[in-house]
Amino acid sequence: MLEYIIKRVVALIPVLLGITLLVFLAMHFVPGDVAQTLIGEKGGHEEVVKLRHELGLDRPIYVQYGLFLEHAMTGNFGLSYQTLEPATSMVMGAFPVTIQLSFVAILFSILIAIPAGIIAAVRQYSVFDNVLMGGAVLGISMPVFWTGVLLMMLFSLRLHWFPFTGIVSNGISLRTVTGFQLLDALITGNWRAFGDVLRHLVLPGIALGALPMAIIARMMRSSLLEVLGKDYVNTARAKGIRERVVIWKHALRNALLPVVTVVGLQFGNLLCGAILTETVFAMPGIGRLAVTSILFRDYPVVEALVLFTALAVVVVNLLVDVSYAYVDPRIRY
Amino acid sequence: MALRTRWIVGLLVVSLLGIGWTAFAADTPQQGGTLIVATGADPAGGLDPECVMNNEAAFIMATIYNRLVEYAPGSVDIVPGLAASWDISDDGLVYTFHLQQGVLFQDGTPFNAQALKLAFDRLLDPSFPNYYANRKGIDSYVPGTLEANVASYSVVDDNTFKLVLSHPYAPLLQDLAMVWFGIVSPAAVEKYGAEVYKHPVGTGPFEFVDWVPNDHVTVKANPNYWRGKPYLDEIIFKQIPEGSVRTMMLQAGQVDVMMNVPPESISVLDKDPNVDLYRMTALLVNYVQIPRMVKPFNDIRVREALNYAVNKQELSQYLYQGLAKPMQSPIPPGMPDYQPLSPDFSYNPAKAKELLAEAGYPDGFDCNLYTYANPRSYNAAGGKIATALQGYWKKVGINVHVIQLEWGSYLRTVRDPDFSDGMCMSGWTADCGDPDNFLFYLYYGKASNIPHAMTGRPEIDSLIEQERVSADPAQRTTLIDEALQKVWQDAGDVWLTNGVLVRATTAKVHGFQLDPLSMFFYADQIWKEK
Repeated sequence: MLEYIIKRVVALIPVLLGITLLVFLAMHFVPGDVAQTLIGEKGGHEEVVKLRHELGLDRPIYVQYGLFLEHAMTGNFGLSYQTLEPATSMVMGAFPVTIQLSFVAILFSILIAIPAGIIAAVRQYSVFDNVLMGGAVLGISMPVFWTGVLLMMLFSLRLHWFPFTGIVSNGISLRTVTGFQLLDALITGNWRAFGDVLRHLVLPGIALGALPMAIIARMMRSSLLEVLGKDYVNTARAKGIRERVVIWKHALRNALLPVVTVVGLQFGNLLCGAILTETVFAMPGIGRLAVTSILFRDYPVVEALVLFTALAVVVVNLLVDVSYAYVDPRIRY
Repeated sequence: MALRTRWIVGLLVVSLLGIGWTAFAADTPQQGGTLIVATGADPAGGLDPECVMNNEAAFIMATIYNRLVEYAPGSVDIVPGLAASWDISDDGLVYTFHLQQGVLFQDGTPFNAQALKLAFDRLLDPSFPNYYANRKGIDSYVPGTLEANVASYSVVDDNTFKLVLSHPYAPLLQDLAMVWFGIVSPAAVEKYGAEVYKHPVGTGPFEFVDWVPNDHVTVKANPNYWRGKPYLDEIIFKQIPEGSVRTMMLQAGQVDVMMNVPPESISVLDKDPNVDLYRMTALLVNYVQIPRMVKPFNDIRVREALNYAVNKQELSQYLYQGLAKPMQSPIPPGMPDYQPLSPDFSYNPAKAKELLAEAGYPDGFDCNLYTYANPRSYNAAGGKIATALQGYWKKVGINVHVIQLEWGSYLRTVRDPDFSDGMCMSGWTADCGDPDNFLFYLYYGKASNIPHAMTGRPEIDSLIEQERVSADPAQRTTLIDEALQKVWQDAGDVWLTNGVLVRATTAKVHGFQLDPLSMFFYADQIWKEK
């Protein structure tokens, strides 16, 4: 097992290098000049040329890439063109919000999707099954910026149950320890802040979780159906075991295997920047940061963002694969 | 009096007192409270006034800093700021500022002529240790005004400061009133060096508290503000990118002020009794730049035809939902020396066809129209305007191929000095309240901001050069009037619309005012009902 993990970690390096090259080239060859974008429509041509030189953009592309790699090894991507903060700290500051949001979203989706998928499979072709799977199609189809605004209209504007936007309310002061607002609230014993941050995560969590919920529900259903059709399940039934025990004890555990994979992969997807959700709910996560940085041609931040996100997704995939070995005794690495 | 009568009279008196009290209370400013201002973006470039990159930064800096001179609320008239009064020599070269006395920066250090000199050193002296441009990667307004025009500056005494120009520069005061000439505390500059953009310290009504990127900026009342402590305790500028969400939050009272009102929200907010809408014609122009140096655009009749073929009234009413007015001058209304000019280029497709035939294009011609996609402050419809224009021009035989680019690529393409591949959507927001800002940057043949589409008009160029250095206000007005008339009649652009600025507050907010330059909102006059 350890050998497998080491092999996978070593394999990360060429993957990350490839990603850095792709991102670097994409940003630099996308039409639109950084200096011109920074200066906007007010500056003249000479000012654009001067700024390009200051930013080192007039050097050969391979020199720029070399410098970038050198800095990336030390986690130093330079300063953001927009805020002049280190790009790394901007990304590190934004990541916790997205991670917390993704957790809430995936938790919400699992809590609904797994029972729904099980019931749909057990009562295949029933009204319940059709309604659930129809609901799943809705979940996949509804754009998150629309569901987000609808949720806000109902729960924030009309019912006042949840706040509209952000990660924490204005009046709440929360000391930063880890950067993760929920953890910091727990560590500092600030229950009011903990509750407040949770309340802020509910609506965007639901909006963001709708898509993974739909996918996981359908996966759960089809996986359980497949397992329920297997011989050993029939044998169990023939032995007179109660249906409930057959499902929960014998079928479900095996049916969950592919679902675990899907949950893990979906979590990785969510981490990639819940861009639309974070924009609608004005959450200061990496999705929002990605939008503003790309539009501003803020190369250092975009490069830092993509690398860190790629790293996060790869790590999540690795964890999913490793967890498989624990969940499925047949798998040995 | 019978008991019942007494009760009725008593009730009446109490009710009248209550109404009177409410009316009184609503008019009397109340101290305290936090104002939450919803904006659409982060302050780009930080909070160093000389390095402004967007309006959001400008709003915040207008609360933290004062300028030597300022704009009177709601207008472009110059009134005293940190300079209580000033004298200008007859030749227009020497400005002597008599400074306000007893003013402190928010860090407690005194504002005086020495502090002002250090502030100017930071802007103009490259050998100054904390010269503003030492901070890499910034854009700045300073080179366009101070550097090009100031010969020297000096301290006369504690409260008197002298600025000497290298040649008369008429718009100087208008420039100095802009938000980017906010006076920064020299003590803060010395302490923080190039990082002063993260620790802004000025003399303004509000002090900087914190900035969480992509989330919010907080400022709190400056108790020692020289004009008197502001009513509000605190202002929070919250970034909420999505327009519909800002609207909902305003309606729910979760934010108090909404700076950028999406056009589709206006009718909803108009009907909401808890929301006040503010409108003002802003100093913006929205137009189509024509490549005058290439055929067929080099013929004035073609350019006039392009103007007559577009129904600007219809565009204003429908595409911009009433939030625009047809342009009637190269400068927007509200600018000094503005007046509607003739011809008014009102919609006349028959005349357009006639002009095209005269110019030798009875069947029209084909050409490109470049546009950006996203809405701009001067064009809320974004790329849709190009489609509308395409429709109008088609009716007179001009077949326009619309090329839409993302903003970054758009700028890159159309700002190339050799660009002449077609017409392009353009616009301008005033950098100060002086018509020179439009004349010089948009219509001057040697302007560096735009491709050389304005070349070949020596008469206009000469008028602009003269008005810039004129020390005689009456003579200057004549020069500007003549220049504007010539620019307008030359039809170097397709003149479209001036924008109407719209902002919204909850009904509990009082004292909020608009300003034509779109960046001040007079935070020290605002108070909030509890």
